[in-house]
Amino acid sequence: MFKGINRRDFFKVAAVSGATAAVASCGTDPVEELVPMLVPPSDYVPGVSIHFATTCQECSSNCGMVVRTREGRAIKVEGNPNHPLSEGRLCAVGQSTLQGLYSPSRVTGPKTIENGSQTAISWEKGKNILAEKLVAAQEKGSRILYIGTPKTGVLNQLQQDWLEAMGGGTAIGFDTAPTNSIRKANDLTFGKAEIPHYAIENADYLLNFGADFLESWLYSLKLTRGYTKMHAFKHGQKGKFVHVSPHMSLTGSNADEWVSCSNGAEGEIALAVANTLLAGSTLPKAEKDQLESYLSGYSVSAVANRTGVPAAKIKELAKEFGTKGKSLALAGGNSTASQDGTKLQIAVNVLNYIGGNIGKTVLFGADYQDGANSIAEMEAAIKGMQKGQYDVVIIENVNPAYALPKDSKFTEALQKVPFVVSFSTEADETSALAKLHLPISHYLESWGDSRPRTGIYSLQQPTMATVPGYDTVELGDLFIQLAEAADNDTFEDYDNFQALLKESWEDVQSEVENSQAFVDFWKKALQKGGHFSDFTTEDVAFDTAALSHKPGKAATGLTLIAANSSLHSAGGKNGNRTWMLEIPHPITQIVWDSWVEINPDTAIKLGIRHGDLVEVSSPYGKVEVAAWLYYGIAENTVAMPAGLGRVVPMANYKTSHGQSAWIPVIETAEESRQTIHNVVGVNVMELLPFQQDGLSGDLNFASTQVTVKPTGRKAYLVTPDGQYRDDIEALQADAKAGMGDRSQKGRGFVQTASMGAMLGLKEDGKSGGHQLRHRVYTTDLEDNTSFYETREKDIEDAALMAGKTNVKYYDTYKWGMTIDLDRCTGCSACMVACYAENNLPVVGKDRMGVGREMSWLRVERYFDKNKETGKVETYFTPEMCGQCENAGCEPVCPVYATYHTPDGINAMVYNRCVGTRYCANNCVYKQRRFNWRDYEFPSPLHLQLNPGATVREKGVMEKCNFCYTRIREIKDIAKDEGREVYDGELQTACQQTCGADAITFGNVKDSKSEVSQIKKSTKRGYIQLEELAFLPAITYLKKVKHNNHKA
Amino acid sequence: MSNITYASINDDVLNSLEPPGKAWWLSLMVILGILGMGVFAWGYQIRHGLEWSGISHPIGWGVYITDFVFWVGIGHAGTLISAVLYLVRAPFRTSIYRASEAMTVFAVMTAGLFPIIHVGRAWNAYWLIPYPNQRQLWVNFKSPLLWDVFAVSTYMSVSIAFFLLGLIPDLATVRDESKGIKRFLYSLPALGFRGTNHQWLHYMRGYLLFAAIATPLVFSVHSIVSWDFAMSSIPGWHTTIFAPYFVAGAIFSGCAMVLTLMIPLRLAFPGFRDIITIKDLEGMAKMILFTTVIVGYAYSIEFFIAYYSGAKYERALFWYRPFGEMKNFFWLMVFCNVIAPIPLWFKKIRTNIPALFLISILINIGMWLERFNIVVTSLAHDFDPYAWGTYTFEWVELWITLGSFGWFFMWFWLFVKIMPSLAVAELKEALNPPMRRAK
Repeated sequence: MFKGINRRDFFKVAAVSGATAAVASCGTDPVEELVPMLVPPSDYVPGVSIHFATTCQECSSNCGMVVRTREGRAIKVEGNPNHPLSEGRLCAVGQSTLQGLYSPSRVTGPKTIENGSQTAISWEKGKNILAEKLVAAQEKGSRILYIGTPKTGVLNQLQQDWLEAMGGGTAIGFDTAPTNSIRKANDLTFGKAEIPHYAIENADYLLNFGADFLESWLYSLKLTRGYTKMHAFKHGQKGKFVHVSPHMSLTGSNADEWVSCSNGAEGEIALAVANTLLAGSTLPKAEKDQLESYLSGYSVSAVANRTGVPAAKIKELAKEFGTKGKSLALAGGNSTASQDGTKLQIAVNVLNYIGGNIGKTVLFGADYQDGANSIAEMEAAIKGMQKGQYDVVIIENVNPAYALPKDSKFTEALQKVPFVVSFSTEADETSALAKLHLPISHYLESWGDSRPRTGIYSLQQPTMATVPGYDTVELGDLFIQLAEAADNDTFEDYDNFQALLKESWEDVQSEVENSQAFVDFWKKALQKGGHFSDFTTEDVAFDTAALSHKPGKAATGLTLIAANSSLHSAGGKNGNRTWMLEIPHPITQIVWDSWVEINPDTAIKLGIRHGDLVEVSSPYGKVEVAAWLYYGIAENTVAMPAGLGRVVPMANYKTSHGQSAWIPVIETAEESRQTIHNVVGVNVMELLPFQQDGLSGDLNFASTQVTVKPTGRKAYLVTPDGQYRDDIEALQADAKAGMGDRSQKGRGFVQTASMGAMLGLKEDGKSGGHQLRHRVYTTDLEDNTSFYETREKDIEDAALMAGKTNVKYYDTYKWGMTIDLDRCTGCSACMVACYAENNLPVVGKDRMGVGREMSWLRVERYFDKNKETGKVETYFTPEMCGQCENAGCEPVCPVYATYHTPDGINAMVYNRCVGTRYCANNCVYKQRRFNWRDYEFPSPLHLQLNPGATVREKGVMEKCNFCYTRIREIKDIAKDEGREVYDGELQTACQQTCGADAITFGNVKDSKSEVSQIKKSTKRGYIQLEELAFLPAITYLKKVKHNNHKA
Repeated sequence: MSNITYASINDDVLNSLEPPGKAWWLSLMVILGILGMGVFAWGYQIRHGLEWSGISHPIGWGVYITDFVFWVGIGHAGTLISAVLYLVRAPFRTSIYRASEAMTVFAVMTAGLFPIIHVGRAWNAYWLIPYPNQRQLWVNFKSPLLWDVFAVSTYMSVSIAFFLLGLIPDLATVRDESKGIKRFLYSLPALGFRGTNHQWLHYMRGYLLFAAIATPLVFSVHSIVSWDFAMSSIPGWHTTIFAPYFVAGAIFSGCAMVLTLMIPLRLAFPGFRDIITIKDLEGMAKMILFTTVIVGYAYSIEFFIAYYSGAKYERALFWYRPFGEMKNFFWLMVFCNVIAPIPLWFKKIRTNIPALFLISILINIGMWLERFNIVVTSLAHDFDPYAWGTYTFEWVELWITLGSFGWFFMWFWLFVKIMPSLAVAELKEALNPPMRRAK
């Protein structure tokens, strides 16, 4: 018989081995432990979240943060309710910190960089290389330059001590935010070089000279909270806020009035207001005389002449400032980021002083710290580097090569330094210039503390082990270990930084006069996030010597402002986070790009239409960006966003943009899994000069002369709003400028009521539209409000017909929400929170351009021209699924993939969804999102995914479900404890983060819950598209306006 | 018809079943090539998701649903011609009804694919069918989409049955004229039909019965398809006029498609020219004239109601259609469906074959655009101005759409070579019986 292999056997073997090979080649994901701890703590329960209190290090505000971890991974950050600065809330940037922790740009471990080639090395080797250089530097003395994040706590002390031990050198806390002008001006005016507490909450009238205090200026979250306390309508009261600035910005769009002025004219206007008020002030005669001579050049008419702001307007400001009760004037942000920033601050100080606000709304003694050095010091350091003054430069988590104007020649100076080492967690423009990269852990993996204000000792603790696959050391430990490697015994008493921190907190305990045992004090601090107490207000005396500084003059020509926003700031730290690029900029709604804001009148003169690609050039450089036209900017000013133009790691989604629709675009499975790194937007720093305010040393962001000219091409500008569409009611369509119409077209998504109406002068302020309550028909139903049975009755009847008797709807719970549009500032923090909580994928510019964004919550922005005043008013409204009782989506689903839960949620059963998208079509609020593909979460971002929420497959529908994972978790806990959910125990992610407290959520079946109270008692409540009778669970509260103009 | 005899009909029709020539093969290759691209595109879509369709947020339905309604509409004419015109004894029906019926069956087969193509998870599309299962999952009979499933599947089964029933005597004729395996194969669907008096009696009864069953379906299926839209809450969709409007539109497009197919068929098989007469084509043209008036009326009344209702959303939408960014689609549609058929009022045009063909092609394009306008512009411009959108075509949907034509024509190409594409027996009925003539 024939031996060996025959045909049949061959096929058998081939089939089996082929199948095996196929199976084996499928599993490409690395094996990971479900529970990353080798020996978990005894009380650890998989599936239950553990919360850690820590401190946010995204900016110098150092708000308190609570990090929710699941299975040993941080999955969500929230505000710490104990912390006096954040009061339980968090801003958009704070919410995005998880994308820093799990950034695909993170450096995996120590490495050397030589001629562009990177070699991974061990920590041992890395530390030894650096120690060798440090020892050499130590011998020469003062040869080290340390450029790091601004620090205010123990780490700051450690950094100084360590630098000292290494033979000394220069340490710079690098931040471009112009805060030194405040300190300097207060030093000059009141003899106190501090950032005071601006108590907006105590004021009734806020006159703001350009400070973007709702976005990024100072402790903006705290200021937002103060602002809403003062400005939100409550008990018939509402403060007034006037914004004086060439750039409206998000902050100014919230103002009751925006007074447009030329760049640099703010100081003169402030002094004109002060001049008017001086006569009525009760200041001592001598001071008054001096002030009078100081203000003599600033009569209303003279200032009106010079600045172009009408005299009547200035008089009106002065009148209101003087009579509205307690007032407050602020200056900051772009208005002080100029060469005359300090002088403007002095002018505003004078105004506050004359207005009697010092000690009332401007509280000294708070002494806010940001730990940053001025840009003047940075300039000295750059000169030092150029002169060869430093042998070793250490860069730690700051990015001056990106964040400083190209004109600063920082990069060139750094290249002259013999040895540059980067400690940065992420690879960035500056660390690319280093020879050695020793990446430190993210702050959520590290110990530390911050002292952002007198009385606040905010503790920072590791919330998780280092992200798997990343070999990093926390900064405190690295200092200690480096000292050890350099044979220095300064820190030999400490095993690690944790020990050092703990010891120094014994000092904190004695400082705050706490009498507990230290163990208890420490434990409590860890649980609460630190030790918090109030500050005592200190009195200050006015120093007339400050009157030698007079504010600068208004700029002439076309001036460029580099503007921060609630999503981006000049440091560029979050410019590479995909959430922050995918979430539309609140005012322009632009995603994934830079733009230049131009006044339409100016644009027409320059021959520019909305959406054109224009060239912006200054003496220092030029860039090409999209023109975005609107009336929120002065005619002689243009604004560009700061903090963009960074390299962004993004999933490799192919695009058909710009090619024929007939040509197939093929994306292989391998390509789908790749991460690509592209520059998004342009860096405005390429246009700015390296200039500082002579008095404070702050960087000049806002007085560069630029020219703007069309390139003749159209820009590729993507916004998720559909407002540029033609419509029958194009109320503000501007044909010449090509802006289209951005109004609500009379659809009443945002409704307003005037103060007069709210105070009962008119029936509750209902304006226009269909009014169900005024109809003339009667119905057969008991309460005579509808032709239809209530949803619960409907369902119960249907169940009875099906022979089921135990079906109860809305028993115990029916979740409802109110959104107060008088509070919402449009900052979009809620959107970031939603992305983080619900595993929303990021789709990128091209896919957003064709309507594929996946956000469950959007903050809609409308510009409505007031029919009476002709002024453009900005409205924001957060829109998410209203979980309609009488939903459009539910009956049209052929497979019951979307249904109404007994607690009133319009639930999506992802597993059952076939993907007909009929539900999305029939949703009149257009809240549903479809999974057009399987979305990628570039590693390690996938570790951020919330295990409680499904990651949806291609082809299924999804939408907001009022954070049902949270509802489930809290309901389960309540059930285990045999009780009902407490009011306030359950917060949706958007509500939790909202600094303005605009969102209230709870059980509407509980008549005592806050949400039912608001729904019942408010006179401002309305339902969007009420005439369609979808009965959504969200009640919006009207925005209240001071004037009685109809919108 | 003096030169037509029983024998010549037999010869002419059976001639079309001769083995195909080069032209047939070549064109079939092109058709299969296009179908292949469509299949590839669909395969890519199944693997990759709906990323490369132009459907977006807020426009949840796009080219696929347009294609679906378009093909269902095409599928109307066949049954209308074979059943309704049979019941009303319209003489011009006889020569064209077989091919029209085939067109109906293939068009509905094409249409039936689109609901599966357009869903996000095509592999779960069978969940739309109510079937007993252990998970006790059931379908939602409130959903118009489910009505659609039933309407289209019922229509498809009845059309196929009616088509096959009508074929029996002709298949018997083919059987009788062929030999060997071919004879055996044709004998199976001929169901032993021998043309006895008795068989004819029962056959004619059965045919009449089926015609009666099929007639209401002609009207129900497109009404129900229209309710997919009319039952929803979107301005531009939510309107009571849709059922008659859609049915008229469907007949309109179906008749145009009949012309589009018959005119080349006459060209391809010269023997058919005597049978499919100009008069028959003119009959179709008259149907088109009748329905274009209805369609034109529906267009204008929609605008009037939008104005007269005072509803701002309706008004905005009906302003947007002719003047918004998708206005080109709208005006092209108006041109194709309302303006282009106007010359048909003249007999000269109605009897001019190139003109008829051109107009029929324009109507086909126009009716596709009509569905596109209804589906897309309504979704693009509904209640929330922030969520307005616009449509961008993408490669997968374009190739699937082309592929659907490939699929349809593939069946039609096979049909003309396998089955008698004219109704032999009925054509013979219309002739004078062959009498011995006095010399």
